[in-house]
Amino acid sequence: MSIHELDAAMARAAGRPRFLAGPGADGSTPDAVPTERLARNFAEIEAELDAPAPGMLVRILIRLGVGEGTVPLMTATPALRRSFVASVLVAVLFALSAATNNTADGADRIVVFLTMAPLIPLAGVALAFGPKVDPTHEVALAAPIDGFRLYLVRALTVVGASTLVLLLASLLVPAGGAHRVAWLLPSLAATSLTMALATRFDPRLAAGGVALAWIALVTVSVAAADAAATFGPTMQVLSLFATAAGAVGFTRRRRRLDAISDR
Amino acid sequence: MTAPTIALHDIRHRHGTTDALAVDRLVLEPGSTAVLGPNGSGKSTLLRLLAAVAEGQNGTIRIAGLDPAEPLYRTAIRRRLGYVAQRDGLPPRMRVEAFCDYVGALKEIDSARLRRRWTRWALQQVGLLDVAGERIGSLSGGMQRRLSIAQALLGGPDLLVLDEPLAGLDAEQRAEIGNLFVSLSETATVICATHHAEELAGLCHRVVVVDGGQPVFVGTPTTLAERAAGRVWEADTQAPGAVCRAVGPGRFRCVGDTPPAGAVPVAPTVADGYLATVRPSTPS
Repeated sequence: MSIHELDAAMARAAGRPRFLAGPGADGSTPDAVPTERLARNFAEIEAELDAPAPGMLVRILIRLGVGEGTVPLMTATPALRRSFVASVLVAVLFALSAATNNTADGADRIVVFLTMAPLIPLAGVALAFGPKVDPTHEVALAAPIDGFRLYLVRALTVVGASTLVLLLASLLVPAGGAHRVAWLLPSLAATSLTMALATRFDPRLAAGGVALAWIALVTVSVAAADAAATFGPTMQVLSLFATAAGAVGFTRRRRRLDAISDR
Repeated sequence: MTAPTIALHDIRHRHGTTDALAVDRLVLEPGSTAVLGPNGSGKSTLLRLLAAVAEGQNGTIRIAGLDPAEPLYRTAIRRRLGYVAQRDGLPPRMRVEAFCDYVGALKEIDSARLRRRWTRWALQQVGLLDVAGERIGSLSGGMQRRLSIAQALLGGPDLLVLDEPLAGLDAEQRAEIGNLFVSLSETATVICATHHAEELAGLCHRVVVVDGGQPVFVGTPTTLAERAAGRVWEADTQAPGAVCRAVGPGRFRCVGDTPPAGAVPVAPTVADGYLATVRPSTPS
């Protein structure tokens, strides 16, 4: 059966005009030419052919298994601007430089790096969400997407990207052994606490407060003990608890991310 | 599914210590509604509440019978909503198509192909398909406003809340967007705040005039125009106590109670009715 015969048979069965133009196999002319439908189909084919090729970042994310509905949320994260990425690299280089040029012993040399490292993802989280940093904030509020999910996706994106850079940088720190990654849990704690506070305050203010508290804690701790003790097991356990507390606070107050509050 | 009806009761909304909005009762049926009012009159606050973007402080709001204060209902309302904020809120470095793709993802259109189809359709509606690959920052102000309208159309919402959609558009674009609204309002509830009384409000099923944070008129454009009946004239001079605007060299169209000698009475328009409503004449 030719496609024209099939079309004619289906049209008869459905009681509709035939779709295909031109005479059928039996020489009959079509009942109607649905030009509107044909034009729409061609427009769709054209749209698919004209669709821009996805960028490298999008291709990587899809390869990593990120869903089609999540990829645009990640790539549109305001903190992922080139200026932020450049700032991250400069900050990491500065921290590395401080860690490698210090004349003190090995343990003290990495204090600057361990202190600065958690602040870098924190800055990203501060710039990932909120009316002051995201021009599309009000558009996002009017959309059905959960503000909690949007913030989480964006925060994980910037934290993931900056953590990867910092982990690579950690390998370049000349001394300290496993101590070189002692910034990781404090970094998660700082991020988690910032996100919890961002449900109440501007994310930049929240991040600023957490950063100051972190610097004060390290300064006091280093003054009272040595660097190894400062970033030792006690700090790591405390960081774990702070991460959990922040996550609970963020989850419990998630609804505050879904509307503009005039209160 | 029929387009949603919106009902507000006993709304009292404050910004800090200032009363921003006070609505005893307002019901907006499906079809188109223009919200007119002077700057700072509470239009944007009203629209933000209608779009469930701002939290109501007290009173009740029902959108399609649902309370937007309830998180689940708010999400359900937002699934039917297209919203244009007063400020465009467009990321200048993003490309037009990528921005629509992003908003499509915010609107839970998970399939990239489907988002692309919606994007092309929405951009076509506002005449921006040709600049789909351009960076937003390189577009003119009018084009950016039309892009804001396009993002609101993604997903085919049946509730459109548009704050100053015609701002920055030229006369031809305003006419095109006006036609689009007329077409959309056949199947959707369309609410737009505007300063263009004739061009947009005249096309709508109903008009709400907000002044001093309160709705002072709710009715049809014809009824609004009739409010100025017998109080509109054209003259060579401006009359004290009347609201006058130039309509030509040395010629003024005025709305007021006491026309000067030689004034020619003219038929009132929606804009005249609006001026007569928000700027009542001085009591004699």
